[in-house]
Amino acid sequence: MAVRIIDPSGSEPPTERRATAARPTSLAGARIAVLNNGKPNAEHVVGRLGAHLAERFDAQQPVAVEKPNSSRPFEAQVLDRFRNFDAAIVGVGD
Amino acid sequence: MIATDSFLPLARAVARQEGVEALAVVTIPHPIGGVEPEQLDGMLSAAVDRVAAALLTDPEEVVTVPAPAVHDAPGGVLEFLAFAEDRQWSDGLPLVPPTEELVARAVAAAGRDAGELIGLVPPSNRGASVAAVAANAVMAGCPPELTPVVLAAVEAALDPRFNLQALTTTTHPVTPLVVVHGAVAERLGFNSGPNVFGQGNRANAGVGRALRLVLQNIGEARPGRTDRATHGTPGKYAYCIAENTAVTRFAPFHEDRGGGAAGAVTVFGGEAPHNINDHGSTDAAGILNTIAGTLASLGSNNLYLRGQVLLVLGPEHAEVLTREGYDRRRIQEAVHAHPRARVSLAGVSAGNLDRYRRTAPHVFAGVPDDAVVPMLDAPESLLVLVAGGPGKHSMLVPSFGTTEAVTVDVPAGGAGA
Repeated sequence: MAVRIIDPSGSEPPTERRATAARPTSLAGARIAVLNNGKPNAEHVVGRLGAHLAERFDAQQPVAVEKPNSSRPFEAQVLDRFRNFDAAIVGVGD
Repeated sequence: MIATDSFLPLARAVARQEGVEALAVVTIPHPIGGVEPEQLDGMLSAAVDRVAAALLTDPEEVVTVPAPAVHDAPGGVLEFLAFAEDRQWSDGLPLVPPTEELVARAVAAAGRDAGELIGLVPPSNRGASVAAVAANAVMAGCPPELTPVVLAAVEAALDPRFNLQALTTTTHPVTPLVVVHGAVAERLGFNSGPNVFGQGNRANAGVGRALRLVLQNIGEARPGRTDRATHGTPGKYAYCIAENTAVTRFAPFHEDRGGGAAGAVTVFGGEAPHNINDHGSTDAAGILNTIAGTLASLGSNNLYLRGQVLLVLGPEHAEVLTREGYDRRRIQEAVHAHPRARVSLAGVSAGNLDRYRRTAPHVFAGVPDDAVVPMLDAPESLLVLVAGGPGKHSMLVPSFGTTEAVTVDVPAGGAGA
């Protein structure tokens, strides 16, 4: 015998799907932001990756920013600074 | 996005939350912390080609299939539990099937519209409607009259000050502690007395568990995936107490915070409670010394993320304090200023000191490496209430740090319906 039950997972998120930016064909000259989320060694990880992209793919030297508390989102005005960049590298991890 | 490999499910969830579900994620081996930065260089060098490819390649579109609003589930007990397990709805314990009839009764007891949206639950940002919260309350074993308390707890947990996004995804062993205050606690039979943090009371167990199921089933906080807790904590099954106002002259906690006479709930982003055993003191000074000494801890998030700590006084400790004229404010001031409520930084590693100085420069910047620093930023950082039964124990509940307790009224009308 079946029972009719209410799904407990709530409604679909109302998030508007955003299109990802058009991909560049090359990283030569690209402006890349590296966002350090405040976790130990995150600055090194994103910084080194950005530097490698500059060395190997001729991207510009990366522009770095950090949030001091990894438990809070980046400030909106910090993210606004990177609107005109070609790419950004962020991290999730520990 | 760069993710350490064990954090990939969380990286995907965060991307989806921001509306860019298809965002390119490159994984690197976990962990990146706890080693010298240079030890990561070989791995980073090897990852660069994949990062470049991710930046240059169009991501694949992700298709998601919405869940149906109702299901025809098997009626047999074991078959239903397997059905729920398949959908990751369970915390591991048996669930009551959220039948249309039981959920309708739970919604009716709240006196609110089934479709009313309480808020979005991170990290999924799925919508917590009254009906969906009620379904989780039913599954947790709550009788209908508890629904308004569960709804108030969910509303409190979704307040931005609580920072649920971080609490629910962190490696730290934190979970919302629900404290029920005032008339509603008495009317609905919550336990504020002996074994208050423990088992044995349906209201405490049901409300605590219902909130957890909401976080798991609506918020999709799934252990080992988006819920990144290293160990978790037993409170992730259920963590709910009631305030004991029968034995002291303290103002009720919620009234000090603007709560109404019908009662309220507070959510506090806490670790497991740590005991404060003081059988020997016969005066306030002795008890305050033990409280302050228990508070001071190098391993606590509260040291470097600061924030609130909850002191749950046992009634017998509270009686000694009140007998000597201590009210909530005087206790807060006494513990904040106490010489034992401080920690020495002597021997703290350079890596930790660097981290502390970044997260709490107002405490750690400009002090010597062997300075002695206070645990609490201000007297108000210590929240104080009374709960528990006879005995010479109190409890200290450290918090996640980057979180604030939130108190929400439970409406007088709804719970009686």
